[in-house]
Amino acid sequence: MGKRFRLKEVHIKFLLFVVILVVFALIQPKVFTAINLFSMLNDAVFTGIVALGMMVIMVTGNLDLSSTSIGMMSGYMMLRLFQMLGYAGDFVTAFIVSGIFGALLGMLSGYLSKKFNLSGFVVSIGMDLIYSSIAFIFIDQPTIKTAEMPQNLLQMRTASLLTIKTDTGLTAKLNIGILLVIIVAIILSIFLNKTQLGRGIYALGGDKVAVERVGYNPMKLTLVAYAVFGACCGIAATYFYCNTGSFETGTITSRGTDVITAAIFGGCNMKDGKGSVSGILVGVAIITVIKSNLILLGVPAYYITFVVGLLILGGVLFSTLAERRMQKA
Amino acid sequence: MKRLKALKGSRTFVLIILLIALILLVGLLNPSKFYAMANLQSMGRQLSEIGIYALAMFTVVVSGGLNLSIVAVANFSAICGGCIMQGIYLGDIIVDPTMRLIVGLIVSLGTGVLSGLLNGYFVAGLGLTAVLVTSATSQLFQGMALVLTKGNSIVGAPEMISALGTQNMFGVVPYLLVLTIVCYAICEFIFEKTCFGAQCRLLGANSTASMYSGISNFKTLMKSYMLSGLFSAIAGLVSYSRMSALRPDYGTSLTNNAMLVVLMGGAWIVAGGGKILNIFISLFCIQVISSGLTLGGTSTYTRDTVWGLMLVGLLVFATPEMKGYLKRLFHIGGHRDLRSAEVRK
Repeated sequence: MGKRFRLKEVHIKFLLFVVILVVFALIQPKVFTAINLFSMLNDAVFTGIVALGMMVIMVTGNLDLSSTSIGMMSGYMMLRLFQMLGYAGDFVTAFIVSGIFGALLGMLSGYLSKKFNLSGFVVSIGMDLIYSSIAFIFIDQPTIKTAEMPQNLLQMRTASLLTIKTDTGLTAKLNIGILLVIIVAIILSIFLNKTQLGRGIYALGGDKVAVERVGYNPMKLTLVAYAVFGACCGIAATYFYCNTGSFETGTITSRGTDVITAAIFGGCNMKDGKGSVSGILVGVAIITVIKSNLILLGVPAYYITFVVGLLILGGVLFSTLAERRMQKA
Repeated sequence: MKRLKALKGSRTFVLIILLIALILLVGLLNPSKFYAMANLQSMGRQLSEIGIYALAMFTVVVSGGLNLSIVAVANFSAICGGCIMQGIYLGDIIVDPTMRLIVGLIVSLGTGVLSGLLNGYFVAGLGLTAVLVTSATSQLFQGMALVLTKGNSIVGAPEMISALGTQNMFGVVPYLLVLTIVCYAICEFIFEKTCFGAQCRLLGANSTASMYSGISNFKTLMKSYMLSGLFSAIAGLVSYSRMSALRPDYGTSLTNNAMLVVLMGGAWIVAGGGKILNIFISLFCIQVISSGLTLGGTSTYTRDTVWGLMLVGLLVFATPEMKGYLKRLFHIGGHRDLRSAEVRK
């Protein structure tokens, strides 16, 4: 006997995503071209990986605003390290090194908030300021130009999974980065659902006292959660810098809101420690489709902040109200 | 005398000492620039901006919440009011400049209160997380401001407004500083003398206890968010008067400064508490540090790092464990607190 299919929040949101995509495509047929679809997928890589990391934090009942600065800092440190060593670099090493840097930075925030029993969110505001600036105090020119980047890493820009020649003679390329999102999603899904540590992280968001009674070490769980989060940020930022081919301080900081929007829209609830990988993927899909197509639809650029604000508020409302209805039923 | 003795060892005392030390330190490093009248006056104006934002933050923090939308609300309400003052909106109906000024002021303050109503309803009425709601409404209000101005800034202000931002009372004290002191006095009255203030404090300390003692948590939270919106709107007008221009994306980093001031003044973020007087003194401390950093010619990166370190440091040092450790380390009044409690009995 198979499980009876029940309509969950994720399914409703996936339907919402499909509806949005279809409506956009009806208004503007250009939305449904290979070039646009591929560019959306490429765009979703950074937000996707960071949002997956953010989910782990929200599952423990916290929120972290320093995701992009952790990413920026660890990406910068990795690039400078490779430069100093004169190492031409390959992807795997780059992702591992920046992931480790990110994990360490994340663990520092996690340690501070857990050790002193502080609100992780407020700590992260302070850490955000520190991480995004401390490396550049003594450096006049904090940018890394394309010529100075580790050369092998630049291959990321041209590495494509799928290339389609369109009728108009343009080529649409699907960057290899989308594989990275899938890999991270699978690893996280197995880690959170199948391992004891992962179940502990879910439990930490549910009931802090019960977790301790069962015999978990809350400090260890928090550190692991923050390390996973930091590693995701580091990997995502490295992908971003390799893909754009240069490092500048402000390029990814504006994406922090997208990440939180995606996480909230993906059904993450920091109050009860809820969140799932599938939810996050749908959330990222929705925010990416809306944000990258508004311009194509002819909406002026200055409307985007307003739309994003409405989206977050709608997401928070939707999740909470759906939750309550389910509890009542 | 008794009052003076009670002052010793309290947060107010420490803050005053810190302020004097900071003034001396920054003054010694840049004696010619720091003590110049022009610098002191411009400090007074900058301080009023952060100070009123800090009040907007405090009114929510004291009841156990956090408001991240203060800057966005300020910009949005200033744009609503400022456009009426300049006759961009309703220019045909209201022709008299004085009338425009009055209507603009009312609209701007009203927008602030309404935005507070929105925040309050989501937090208190629907029971959503304050942090998420206010960061969402922050985007929303900033977005609305961007839509209203089409992403540009609007230059120009009525004479009264720009005079408020540039003139000094008796040629010495900036009008804005006077305005700030008035706002702090009002807040002191609200939070020390009125029933609402006491209810706010109780709600911040323990929301369950507050509910069981017959206080409507909903009403208290609504009022505190509305008050926060009102002060945000005043802060928006202060920024407008200083720049004589309306910018939809102005001063996003001021939220951090406001939080820092509130935290330094002893209000536990997400747990309430704090005194207006302490916040007033810490406001001066933050402003002196800020001016010192600017006079020292430091980069924005250095400033951000300093603010971040201070924020995290203050959070950590405010924890009970750390306080106990410090007291043992410096032998500050370890047993005196106990003794004074006995005497009071």
